[in-house]
Amino acid sequence: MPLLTETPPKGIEKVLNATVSELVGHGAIALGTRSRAEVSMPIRVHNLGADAIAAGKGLGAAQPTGWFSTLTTDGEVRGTIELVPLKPARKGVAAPDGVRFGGFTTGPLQRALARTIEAATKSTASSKVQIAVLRVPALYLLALWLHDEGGDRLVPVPPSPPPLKAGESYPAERALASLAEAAKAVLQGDEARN
Amino acid sequence: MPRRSTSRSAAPARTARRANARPTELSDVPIARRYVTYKYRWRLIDIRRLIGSRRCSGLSVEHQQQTQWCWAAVSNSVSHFYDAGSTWTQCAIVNAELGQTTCCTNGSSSACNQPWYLDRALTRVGCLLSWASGTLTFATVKSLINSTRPPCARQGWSGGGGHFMAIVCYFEGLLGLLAGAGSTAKRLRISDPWYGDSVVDYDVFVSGYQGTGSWTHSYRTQP
Repeated sequence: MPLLTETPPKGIEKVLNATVSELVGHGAIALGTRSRAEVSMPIRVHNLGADAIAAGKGLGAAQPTGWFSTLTTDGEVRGTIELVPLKPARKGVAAPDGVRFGGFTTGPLQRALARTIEAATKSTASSKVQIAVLRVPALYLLALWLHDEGGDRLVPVPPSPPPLKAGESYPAERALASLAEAAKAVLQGDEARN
Repeated sequence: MPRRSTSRSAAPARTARRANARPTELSDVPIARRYVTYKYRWRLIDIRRLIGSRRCSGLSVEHQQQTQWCWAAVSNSVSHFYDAGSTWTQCAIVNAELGQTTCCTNGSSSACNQPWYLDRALTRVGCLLSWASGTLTFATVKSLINSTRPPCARQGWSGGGGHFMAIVCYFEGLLGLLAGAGSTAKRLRISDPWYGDSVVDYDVFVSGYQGTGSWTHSYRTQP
């Protein structure tokens, strides 16, 4: 059984089509006229703040922020398309269902994410595992969030913040606890610093 | 079908369902399946490049050498953008700003791998024109890039912490309308010392960069 992800929202394929067209149109993606491009199944992305980690709140405090799809051309990873929820028409009104373009990111981190997903796919071939992506930007952590009957596990994408090692699978509670001190240090900074 | 274990932490699908406020179908899509395949369509799409405008400054921010050195990577890249003969390096800027002498040989030490202020680092390399809290309008970003003065920005993360990057290109036009942007078709290319280069929707860069970032400070640069 392969890795499984939450069913993407309706209409996401149309937005992906338009996004790829736009990126090629802008020149953000350079392609040969006979290139074959593929977009992977969108995976849910969640963000977790340093304050939640410092307070020991765990994955229960993570917020879903969008969807990731990997764009490959002729088998080469070109980057990650991020789709985010639609904006409300005006303040005080609920946002409509659906997604829109959020960003397209290239670079070694995106290639590492694709490799880590591929490795997780192979290692979980015989079991049912839900997959999502977890971001902790304040601590420079990008990780796969795997969930099965045994609980939640995190697999950091390289480069990962110490003491976590990239590619290793950690019980989520333990991984986040190991980052608590770093998270507390982040909270001591003032507003104009990184 | 995997469902929640007895663990108290939230599963990916569970938090998603809470946010959408409507039931979602769980765990039924294998990710190995290719979602969309494109083939032999690019010659037609290239025509659309004529619709809208785009401009790049030529600045590219190098990767930060330590986890806390985004301020050093951005200021060093700006320095070399304006002066190809600049002798600054990331670690030299860190040494100068933090009053250290060992950051070029032991950059990961706690004395060297520290967060800092981009305005001070840009001042150190002689490239800061001005800085202020808040965002820049898309029109201002266009104007700065058109005059080859790429601005830099700080993103503050929800829950604490922040990060620096440069805005190096803009794209504007009808193409963005196709990708669900509504009335907004404004894109920025961000050169980020950690996440890499990205094309982002302007509104997402103002609020929502990397999921939870907010554009908190802006830095105008000069040769």
